[in-house]
Amino acid sequence: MASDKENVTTFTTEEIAQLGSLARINITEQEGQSLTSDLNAIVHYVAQLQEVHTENIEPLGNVHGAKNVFRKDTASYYANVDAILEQTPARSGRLIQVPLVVDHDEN
Amino acid sequence: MTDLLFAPLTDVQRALESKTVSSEELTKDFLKQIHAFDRLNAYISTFEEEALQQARTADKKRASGDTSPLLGVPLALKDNIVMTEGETTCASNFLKDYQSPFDATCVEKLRNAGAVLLGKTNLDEFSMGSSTENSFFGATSNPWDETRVPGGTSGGSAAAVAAGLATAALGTDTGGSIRQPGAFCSVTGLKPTYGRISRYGIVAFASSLDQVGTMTHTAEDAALLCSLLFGKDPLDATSMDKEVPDFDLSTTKDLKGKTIGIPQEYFTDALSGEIAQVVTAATKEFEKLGATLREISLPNTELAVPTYYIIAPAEASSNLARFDGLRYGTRAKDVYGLKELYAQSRTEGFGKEVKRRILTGAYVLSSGYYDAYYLQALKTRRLIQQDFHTAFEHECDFILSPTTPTTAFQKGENVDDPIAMYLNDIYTVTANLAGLPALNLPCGFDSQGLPIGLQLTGKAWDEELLLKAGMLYQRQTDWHTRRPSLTEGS
Repeated sequence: MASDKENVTTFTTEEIAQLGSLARINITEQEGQSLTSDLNAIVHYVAQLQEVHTENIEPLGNVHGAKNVFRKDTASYYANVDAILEQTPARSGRLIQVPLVVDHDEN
Repeated sequence: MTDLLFAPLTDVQRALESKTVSSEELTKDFLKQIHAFDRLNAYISTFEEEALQQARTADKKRASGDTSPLLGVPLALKDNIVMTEGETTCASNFLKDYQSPFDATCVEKLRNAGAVLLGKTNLDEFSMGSSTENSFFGATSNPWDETRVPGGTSGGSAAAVAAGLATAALGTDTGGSIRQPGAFCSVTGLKPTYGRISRYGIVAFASSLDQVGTMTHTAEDAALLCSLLFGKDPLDATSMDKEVPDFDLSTTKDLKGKTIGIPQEYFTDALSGEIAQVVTAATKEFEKLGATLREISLPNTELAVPTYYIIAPAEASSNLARFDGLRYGTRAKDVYGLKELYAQSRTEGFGKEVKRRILTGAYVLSSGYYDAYYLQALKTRRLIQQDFHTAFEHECDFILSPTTPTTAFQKGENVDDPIAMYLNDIYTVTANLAGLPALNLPCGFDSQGLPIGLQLTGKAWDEELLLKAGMLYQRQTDWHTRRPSLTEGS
């Protein structure tokens, strides 16, 4: 991606469309221009953090210092399966229906 | 109509206990008021039959001796909190028909305490915004000036409490979403310490920042709700097992011996002069209560908004990846292939701000940019947390600041300028980044009659001191009792 003097990306509409494709969002032509200028404004704004000296600073992901722990992988009975199935946009009996997923054109 | 529409929860509780009013009468009055002020668009949905049924059940239970703390009290919930009645939409086209098969833990706790649940309030889509304008169901109006925004993202909850459309409401706060609308609508709003209230059943936006909280008429009401909502939930691994504080004021008569930090970095040119004046005047009330004021420094304050607007979108882009149109929510029609089904469903389902955040998040997490943006933001987040640790360790017991840099702005004013919108969060995002409790208290009005809020930020797990300070402040001021002059049918 193109960079300006301060080493901060300036997106083109094509690059925003590509980012959208990675995030599974189609960027319409109508939205492309304004999303591109919005993203440029946002990324240039947040890029000010790059000037902060953070050598030897530990990243902070969870404020209470929690670490990931694994629970036991045990199955439990869920009584309300029908309520979950009712939310599916398309189904066949107790199966969720999806369109063709194996497609030689997919990348 | 009863005169309880604008009454604090504690008064409603007493009226119900003494049988001055029945829950059914009260619930009918609230439903009438909700209809009369439909134009505010505070609610996305109401559950009239269910609420009246809950009210009648509460009245019967009371007659047979039940004394549950919220028995028959009409409350509202932000529409990103799932419950089995109606839809949980998150104000999104994507979830407009979504019906949850289960209740959030906080809903279950309210039900167990006997509450009547009136309906679901409006918000910015997926809690992304600062004005409740980014809603698929249209913007909410500020009851103090209907041409203005109520703040966001819990703007529907704030407007509902301010306009007498619920005795109290739950909101969620990721970067100020309870406190900023609280300030804009003159509502007492508490964001508790991260981990205090279970997030199970809250539609996730930014999981390391999101927290459920209360929007009430008084700090005493907030304390009452917190005593019911706080606690470890096995269904939320980030909720913590901490003792629930005793909010009883009988042992606390004043703030003698307490030092309140006033952060100089919060009183800059970005702050409206009128707000600076009103908040400074409010500090005198805390001095009268015996507290000592001390100027402190939170040197990394200016890093907070850029840090937040990297971390929150990053977590959002990951959390919102689940919305694929397969198992629930909107599914695009006549689409060929899986990738295109995902993309088209999300394109049709999400509004513009949600797309901005997902794209920003995807970028800052992407290979090659991760270290420069996301990892760097996690480090500056540490610096911001350290500022607070240092202040609380050496200088003060809690911090007092303005809640917002301006009073409620006009609808449409900031919708096309994301950075201007983001800067509304300048004083509130720090508490989320550091995981601290923070409380908005109404403290005055500007020359246009718009509410102003002050914010108390406390040590982790010290909601007790914040709420006691709030209760003492509200005993000697009456800002929180002022009501907007609303006229029906205009």
